[in-house]
Amino acid sequence: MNRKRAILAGLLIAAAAVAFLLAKPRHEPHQNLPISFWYFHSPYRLTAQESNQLKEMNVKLLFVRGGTFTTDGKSALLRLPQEYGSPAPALPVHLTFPFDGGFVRHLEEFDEKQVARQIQVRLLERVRLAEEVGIKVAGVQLDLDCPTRLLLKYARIAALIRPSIREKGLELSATGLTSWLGTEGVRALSRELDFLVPQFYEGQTGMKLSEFRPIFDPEEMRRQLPKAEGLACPYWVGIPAYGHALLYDQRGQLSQMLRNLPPSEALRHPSFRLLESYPANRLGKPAQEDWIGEQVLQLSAIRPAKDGRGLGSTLVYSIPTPEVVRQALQLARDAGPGCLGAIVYRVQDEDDELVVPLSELARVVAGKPPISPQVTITQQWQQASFDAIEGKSKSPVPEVTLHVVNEAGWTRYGSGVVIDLDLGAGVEAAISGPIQRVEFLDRNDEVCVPHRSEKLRIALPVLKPKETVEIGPIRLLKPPVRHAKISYRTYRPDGGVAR
Amino acid sequence: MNFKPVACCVGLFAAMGGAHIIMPNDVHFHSPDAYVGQTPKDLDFGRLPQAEMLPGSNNEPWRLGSTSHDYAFPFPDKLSREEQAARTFLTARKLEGQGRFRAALRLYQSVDQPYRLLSFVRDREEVFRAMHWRRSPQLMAYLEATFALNCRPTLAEWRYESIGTPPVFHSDTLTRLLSNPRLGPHAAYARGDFRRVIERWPRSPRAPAALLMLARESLEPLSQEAPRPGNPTTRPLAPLEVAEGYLRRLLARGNTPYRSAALGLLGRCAYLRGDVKGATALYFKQIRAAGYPSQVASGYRSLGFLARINREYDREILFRLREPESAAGFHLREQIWGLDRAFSRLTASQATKVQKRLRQDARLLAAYITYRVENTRMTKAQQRNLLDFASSSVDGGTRLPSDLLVRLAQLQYNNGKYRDSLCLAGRATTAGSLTGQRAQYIRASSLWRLGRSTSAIRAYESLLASAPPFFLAHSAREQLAIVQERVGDFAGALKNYYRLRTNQLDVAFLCDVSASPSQVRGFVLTLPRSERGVYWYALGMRYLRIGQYRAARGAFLAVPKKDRLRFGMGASDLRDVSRTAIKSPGDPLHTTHKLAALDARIGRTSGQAHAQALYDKGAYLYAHRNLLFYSFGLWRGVRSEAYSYAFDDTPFNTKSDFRKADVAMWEHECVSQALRCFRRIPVKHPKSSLVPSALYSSALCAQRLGDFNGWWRDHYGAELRRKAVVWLNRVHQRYPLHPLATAARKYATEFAEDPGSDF
Repeated sequence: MNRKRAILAGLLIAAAAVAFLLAKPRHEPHQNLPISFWYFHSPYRLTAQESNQLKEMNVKLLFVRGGTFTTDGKSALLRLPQEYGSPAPALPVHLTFPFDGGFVRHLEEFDEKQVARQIQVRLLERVRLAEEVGIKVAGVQLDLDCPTRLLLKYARIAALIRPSIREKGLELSATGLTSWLGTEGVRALSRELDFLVPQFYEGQTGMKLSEFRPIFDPEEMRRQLPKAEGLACPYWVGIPAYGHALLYDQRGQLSQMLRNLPPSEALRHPSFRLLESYPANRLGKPAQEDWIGEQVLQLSAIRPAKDGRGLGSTLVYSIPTPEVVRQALQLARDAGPGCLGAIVYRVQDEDDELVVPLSELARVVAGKPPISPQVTITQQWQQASFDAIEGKSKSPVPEVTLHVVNEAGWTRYGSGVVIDLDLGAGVEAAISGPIQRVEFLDRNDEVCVPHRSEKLRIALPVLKPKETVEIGPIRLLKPPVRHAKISYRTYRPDGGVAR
Repeated sequence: MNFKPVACCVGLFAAMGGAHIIMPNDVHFHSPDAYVGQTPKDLDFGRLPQAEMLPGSNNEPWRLGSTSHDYAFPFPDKLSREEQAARTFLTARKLEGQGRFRAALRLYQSVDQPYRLLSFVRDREEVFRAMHWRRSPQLMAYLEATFALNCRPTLAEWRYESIGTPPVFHSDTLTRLLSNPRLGPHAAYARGDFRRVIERWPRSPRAPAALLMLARESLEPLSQEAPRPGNPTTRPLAPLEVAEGYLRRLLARGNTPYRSAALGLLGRCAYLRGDVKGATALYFKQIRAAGYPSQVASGYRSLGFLARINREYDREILFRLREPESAAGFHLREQIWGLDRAFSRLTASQATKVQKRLRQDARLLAAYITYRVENTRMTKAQQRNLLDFASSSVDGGTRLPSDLLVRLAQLQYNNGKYRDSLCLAGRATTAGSLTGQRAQYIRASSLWRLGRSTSAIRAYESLLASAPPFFLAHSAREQLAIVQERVGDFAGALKNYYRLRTNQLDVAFLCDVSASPSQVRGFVLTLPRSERGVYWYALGMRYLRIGQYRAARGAFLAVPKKDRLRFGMGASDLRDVSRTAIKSPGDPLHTTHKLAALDARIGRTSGQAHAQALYDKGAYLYAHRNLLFYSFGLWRGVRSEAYSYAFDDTPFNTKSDFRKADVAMWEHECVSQALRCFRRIPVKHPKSSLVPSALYSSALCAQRLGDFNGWWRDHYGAELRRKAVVWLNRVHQRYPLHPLATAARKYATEFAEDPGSDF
């Protein structure tokens, strides 16, 4: 009996131990997860402010685009080589080489040895040129998004390239798609690399408007990230800090990606009308409690473009906020022991609105909340005397100009600031300024014609940090009977009211 | 689809910046100006340009001839004017060094306002006279030292470093010269020792200037005080008395060039004592005694200031409107902002007074119209209203001053009343230089608008022959080129665009697209030999693209072989234009030879051999893309950017321009020419065994062409991608056993899903 009891007790202890081991996390979360960035624009140079911000985030190396591989159907060719500003930034870099769609299409037909040799020669040449201008090159990275079935071929090419890279004392790495994780192909590839960077973003680009998805999907990252532990090499986690603009045609089919039309301009563009703007969930729908940190902006083309086409198209923006990076970093910190850090795509080029600025990323990394918009509005009154002099009116009429300043923080896109201006007098119809919409209201807040209006409701599409906007001059039809009153609301990117 | 924001032009700015063209100004590629928010929808280069422009202050587009103030971009015209002034000063200095004092003085005096250094030039004149225009070592030392002292800061500001080494000032030289009885007063003055000048050399021509400077120095402690209406200064009055003492001594000397300035300073003293009435009287005296427009302007500025502190905004406006235009220069912004402020504070009764005065005084009315047109934004209705007001104000007046006639003509032109503008401008063309030249510009533009192009060309040419100032000359030449282009005189247009030196893209557009090869040839022959290379190369390319190989060969042979391998450019030119190493497509003579042979084969064969010849030519072009037909030097490497960012949005371009550009685009790209060859095979030889290969190659060409650059993506991207899919589907559906069928099926699916290279 005692023996049975002893066995039972032993079994219980063993079961408890197993349960304890299963319940306990396999490792501690990465508290000080190293952060790095992809730097994709050209020329590569860092301002003093950027250097300081990177230092603040404890960034020890950067991944800089070194050139883009393409093909003429036979050979691997390099185009758009990186240029380097002077003086060369001191941070060590890995030169990253994306491969364009044409190369990926032809990958299946390429002779492995020949193409590997061509890639290798061009990689080493770009490394040499970068080092010549004083860049410290620590490694090269291949960014080849091939189908999963071609991963073994990719691995063989990487294996052919690797010795010459190692010979130079450099590391060889590659970016990866999340759909690769868990496959035999990616394990084979990872055996040929010093590290791999699975990119947890843009897993799905909606080819139809109804299938539109945001760039970041935290659920997908949560599901796929543990699979990275099965790689034969350590890994960095690629996370997004960028957005894009997709143009869908009248049938809802993806037509093109619009470059060079920032959302703030699209909102003021005469050819587009705002359909909706909302903080999005992972499915691209309005978020409830499940905001993923992206704002979705949908606009409809109400006029054709200059070439006569485009009427009825829909323009959809995914606009990132620092919240995306915060959520992604939080998930990355819970990654397994194989995780070396997180790489953010990408460093902002000039004032690219679709990339989160470094200053805001620095706040995220430091665990600080994003800054709420801090808007102030002042009014400036003057007399419009030209009409009086030139005989159109009997006396100078008053004009008011509003100066709207945002000291810090972003508003949401689409009616980011709504101003109610109570003038107590009718106004002329035309109101100049970078406004999204204006409503003329009577004393009962009913919409009316401008000359009967007493109030104006002016919506500004967005206010960026440090942006100043001038509205007006708004010309009154007669002197106001009382002083104008201004009230306004500013909205945060998550849809909340900042003021 | 081609929804473009104005900001997309940044790309072109950047691209052209790399090509050392600071601001795209070309008429066919003018839309980048929209980035600055200034290009109106109805862009009209025939509107009268203005000499000085505060950015964004009016409805006018930016004109290269004008001088900008505080602009974000260093505009080439301003740079060139500064550089020209700096060069003139340096040439004059060189002449001084050679002892050619009279010639040097003439050059110093020839520098335009606002770049002329008045006091420096006056000192030069006095010192040359004092030394009887004779060379001496001490004079040469003085000239060198004072040139360094006075001109160095100004020249440095004018980017002198691009011209030469800045002179260095040595103060010891001036000290040594103090003992020289003739040069002594000048040296003492240059050292700032004004008291010594009036004590030791009271009869020197420098003494009045020294008295003025002593008065200014005495007033210096009071000058920072904020103006307070009618109240005297709170500081001790001693400096005022001292300053007034110097100024009275100066005025007692009779007629000196400094009389007007002295009266102005006395006016300031009176104001500081709280005597506004006395100050006003003195400022009026200052204006009457003025010898230079700048002194007149200074007087009116002071009167405007007094009116403002008394809240007499109507008087302030009237005074400020009387400031002579030629003196505006660096004070333009102050004048315009002053007027803006005064107009915004005008009461009803003051507005009536201003209106009354404008109706009475034609010159004031002219100045008012100038201010309104050049420095305020007006809607079309407001422009019409201003015209009605101005016309009614001069109703019945037959003897109107020329200034007003010109401004009325400008208003009529801006309101689209070209007959009236022609008539009014015609009455003013005989007036003095600048007014008459402005009238001639409006006359020429009106003639052009009325369809009298030959007369318009003559009028512009006559204006250019009268040596107008830079802003007018530049616009006149540009407008002349436009008219010549529009009437089909491409050789003339090319010559004038070329002479502008700022419209390289227009020259490229005409050479490569609009003008016929023979017209381009005529233009090339007018150029100096050293500048012909790029244009011969471009002409050769035109012939090559249209299959005129003999002519192409002739044009290419006119370029030295080394330069032929560099797109017709010299080595330094290529380095200058190209930011990154660009791979040359090789000697165009080889291409000419090869294409001629391929075409000859196409011409002499038939049946399957003809199909094979077509296929071979297509394959050659496809394999040797992309720069095979590109005149890189002509376009300064920014052809694609210029078309992608600017051409479509430029309001100046007509349907004919767009059509020509379209034809040129199809001619220009190797892939499009290859596509044409491949497409002929299934049409001409539907039963040929080469049809599946030709269809497959056509699809590759179409896919590549549709994604070639921004222009192709915008204009034909979707259409070509669709065609590519159709042709690939045809290959695998009709020829399932062909070796290319599998690949065709694969790529048909991929191309159908591929929305372009941006993904």
